[in-house]
Amino acid sequence: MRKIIMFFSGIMILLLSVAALYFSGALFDANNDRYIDAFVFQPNNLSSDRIGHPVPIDQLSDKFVREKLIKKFITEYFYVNPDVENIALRTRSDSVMAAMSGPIVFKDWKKNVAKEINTLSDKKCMRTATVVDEIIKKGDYWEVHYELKTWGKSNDMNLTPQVENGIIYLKIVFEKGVRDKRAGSKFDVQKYLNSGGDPAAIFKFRVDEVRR
Amino acid sequence: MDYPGNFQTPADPAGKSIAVSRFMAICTFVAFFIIVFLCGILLWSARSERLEPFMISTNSENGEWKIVGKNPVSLEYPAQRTMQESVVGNFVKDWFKISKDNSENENAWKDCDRNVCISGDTLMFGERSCAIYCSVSEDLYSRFSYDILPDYKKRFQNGETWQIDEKSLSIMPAGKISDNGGTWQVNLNLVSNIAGRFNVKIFMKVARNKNFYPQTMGFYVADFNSYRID
Repeated sequence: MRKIIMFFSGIMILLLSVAALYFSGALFDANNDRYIDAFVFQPNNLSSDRIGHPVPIDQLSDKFVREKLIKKFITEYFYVNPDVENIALRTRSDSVMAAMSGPIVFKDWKKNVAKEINTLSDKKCMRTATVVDEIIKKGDYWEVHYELKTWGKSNDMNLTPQVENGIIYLKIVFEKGVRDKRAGSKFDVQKYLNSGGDPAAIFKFRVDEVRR
Repeated sequence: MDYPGNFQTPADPAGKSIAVSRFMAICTFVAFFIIVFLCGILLWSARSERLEPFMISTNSENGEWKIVGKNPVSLEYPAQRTMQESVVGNFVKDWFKISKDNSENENAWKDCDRNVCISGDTLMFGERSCAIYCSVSEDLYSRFSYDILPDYKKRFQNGETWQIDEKSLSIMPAGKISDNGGTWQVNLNLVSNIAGRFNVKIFMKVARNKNFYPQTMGFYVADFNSYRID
């Protein structure tokens, strides 16, 4: 009789273990409960969410990423839109410009270029910046040919932009992969992106010197 | 037991086996919780290494980079945001409209009484009476009437008409959009019967005042800057 009781007690404990295993798994899943519905939305032709074609994996080399980041840096460095809040955000220490620049470059940019951007923005000007030629390495520096188009006033449909071409030399640090640290502390890429951060700031890319 | 006179309690012959079974029961109890805990850790470690790829969309025109597919922001669009997009979309249509019918133009561009806008007789569907005035701040209307209107009237006198190609209209935020407004970027193609079709980029600031603009939940256009791209 006693052995039978022991046997059933063992079975009971085993069942309890299985139940506990099931519930602990369910509790874990409840924390991250996601459903996948098997249908796909085609973004509308006019939608800003339309993504175009992804870059093929064989094209997605370090060179490709580096050039994209240099182009992004040039845009961040020069572009102007008529919203003064935009430049206020760009000069903050957590901005993408701050993330892509070394401390000296960011300080110089704030002191010189950002002031000019602010003045243009106040006057309701717009300026676009594009890289127009191949980016080539000369010694320690990357030579970048850029084109600035500046609209000196807004709401004038007769106005054509003033075009200015220039060359800028950038000394950059670039490594493969994404950052694990930023400003000395641990950097959580997923958290940063989920909070709407600019993806350009996650790469191990930094401009240490700018010569014009 | 004669306590406290007699401490010599007789030993229980079954005491040892009871103690052993108690000890075993406690061990089983502890082992049970250790097993549950280890199962939890096992599940956690199995699930904690998850591949979360993200796709970056880059815009070569404005240098904007953003994550697509993963959707960092909520897919739910609150009414405030939808209304702002509606205000933006309707306003650019009115701003860039030069009709061949002069009375329609004058009606849309004229200076009105703010009470007329509040009363609800304007801004009905298809109704363009006071279309510009009722959608903007006093300051922007002043800029419109002094800087823009003379040019529009000159174009009308030259027989020019404007209308936007609605299929080309794209509206996107240019910064943070709150329940009280924000800056929007609009791209569109403008069709002129004289100059042809050209691309226009617009930055416009939407603000909110529930008292003066009740028909649009208080949203109005506080600043408008457009540029001809090509």
